[in-house]
Amino acid sequence: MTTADDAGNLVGPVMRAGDIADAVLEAIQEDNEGREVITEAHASYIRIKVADECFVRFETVGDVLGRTVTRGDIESNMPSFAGFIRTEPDGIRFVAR
Amino acid sequence: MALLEMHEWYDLARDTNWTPAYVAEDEIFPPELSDPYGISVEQWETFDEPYKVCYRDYVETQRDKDIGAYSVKSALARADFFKKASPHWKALLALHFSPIGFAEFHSASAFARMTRFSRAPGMRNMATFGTLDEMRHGQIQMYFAYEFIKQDRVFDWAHKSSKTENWIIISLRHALDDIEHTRDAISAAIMTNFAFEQGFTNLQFIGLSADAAKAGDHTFATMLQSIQTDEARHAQIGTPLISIMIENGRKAEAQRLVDIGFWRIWKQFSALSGISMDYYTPLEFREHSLKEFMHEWVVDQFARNMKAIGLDLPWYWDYFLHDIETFHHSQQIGVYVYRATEWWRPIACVSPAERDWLEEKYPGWNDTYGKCWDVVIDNIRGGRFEKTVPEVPPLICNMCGLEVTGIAGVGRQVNGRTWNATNFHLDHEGRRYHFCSEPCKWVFELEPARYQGHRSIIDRLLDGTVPPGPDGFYEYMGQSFEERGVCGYDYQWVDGYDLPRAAAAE
Repeated sequence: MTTADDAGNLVGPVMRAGDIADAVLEAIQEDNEGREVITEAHASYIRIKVADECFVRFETVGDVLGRTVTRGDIESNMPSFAGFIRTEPDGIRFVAR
Repeated sequence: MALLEMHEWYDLARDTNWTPAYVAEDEIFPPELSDPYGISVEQWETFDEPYKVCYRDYVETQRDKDIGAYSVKSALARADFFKKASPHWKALLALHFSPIGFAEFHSASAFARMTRFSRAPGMRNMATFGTLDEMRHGQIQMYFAYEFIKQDRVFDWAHKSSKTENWIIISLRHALDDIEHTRDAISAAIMTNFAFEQGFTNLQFIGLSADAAKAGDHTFATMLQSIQTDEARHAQIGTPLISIMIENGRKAEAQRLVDIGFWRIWKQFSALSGISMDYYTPLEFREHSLKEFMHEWVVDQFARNMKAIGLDLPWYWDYFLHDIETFHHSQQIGVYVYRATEWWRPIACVSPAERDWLEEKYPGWNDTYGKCWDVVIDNIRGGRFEKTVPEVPPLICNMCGLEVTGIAGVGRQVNGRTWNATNFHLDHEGRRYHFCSEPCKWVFELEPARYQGHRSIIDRLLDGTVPPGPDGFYEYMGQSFEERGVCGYDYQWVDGYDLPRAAAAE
């Protein structure tokens, strides 16, 4: 059974399953190049996890979707996240602390 | 003319502290409402909100969220869905909508107090949006619940419940009044935004949405997640507050607030989410058990946050881990057998196949809780329906307001099995108080004067507050004859026990 001690430092968004979630996953893979991106699919949501720090850039998500993407577009589809959040002008950063 | 980007003006615009010239600072921000911890305003001004939002963006985003949730509702026209839904799902919807809608609406006043009395400008900004969020949560959940009223008057309780003295509502109100509505802005925010919202709302609003999606109730699933996107934002108020408390030598106080808030809300979610996920969700649609969701969202995700910001796990953590596997099973028995005291139609959810699932998820279930259900099942199969309802009222915890049930698997042996039906009582100023658990008793002992005036529903029965007569108890709780719960399956759920086990499981 998972405990607080062995859960590691995986951080990242929990996205409502759908197009935006798929695009955010693709963007995170690009924005966090060279780092392992772990996904965990559930019936209505998907966990996207990167060790210690995870950044998602609005422009990268927009490139995937072919339209402009704002912070609000991400928020509307992000019911939770692991770690701590930092909103930045060009994206959202998730950190272990 | 080009608009400035938000980050170019945000810090300046939200820096709304000033030095008052006509009144004293303490008159604007009384310590008992603003900050009883004596931290300087300069320190509060270091509050750096991790989730920065401006009003323009907020309105645009919230409009899109509402369009999304309401358009799913319109597209799926749910009248038929509800008519065809099983008593399982109807009970689940009633259990969710009845207590939660107005409780969320009331939360708006808690956020409004944070907005008014916090000395941290950044916190005031976030809490303003939190106030609007909670109004939305109250409105959307009452609107969605009222869709069903033509089919089932139970959903009138989405609005009515908070005005009643029903025992379940007393329990919920006591917890929320304690952490949200009767403390200073800082304490309420740490308990509400951190312990409650970061700790537990994911469980009901994301975990349960997974079950809803599997059940095909996409309207409910979308609504739940839409609400939780707001929670994910405004729950972040708590983290910088705790950091400032710790940096200013107030870790012990912050820890105590989290420990109290976490336990109080756990008890509520244990009953709400525990019964919803492990009993009321139809077997074929269950994504995970309560225990599994608790480990995902709380034991892993939230506990890591607690430790990362410099707090310790609550002192009762081991007790809590055991409670995850036990408490709600006892409560489900109580909710079913005392069903007339609830306004919806409770269901047992212990068919042979469901028992197999419970035994798999909670090894030992059959030898503990299952034995209680065996008695209920035998009485129903023998036509002794009156024996499925206890003649005496239960002992109610003077803190959480739920039944004192003890803990299966811990304590003394009775008939070869272990069941510890311990009442953690306390004698204080001439009366005896009863508690379901050591942490509930601990909360009381921290501040007896705060809690000793509250009377549980059983206290009210014994002191004559509840009118006498066969209907007095129900009328006191706001329940007309038609609003008293009966078995949602009219006892037919025991039919599975007449079949060979393998056939019953199909």
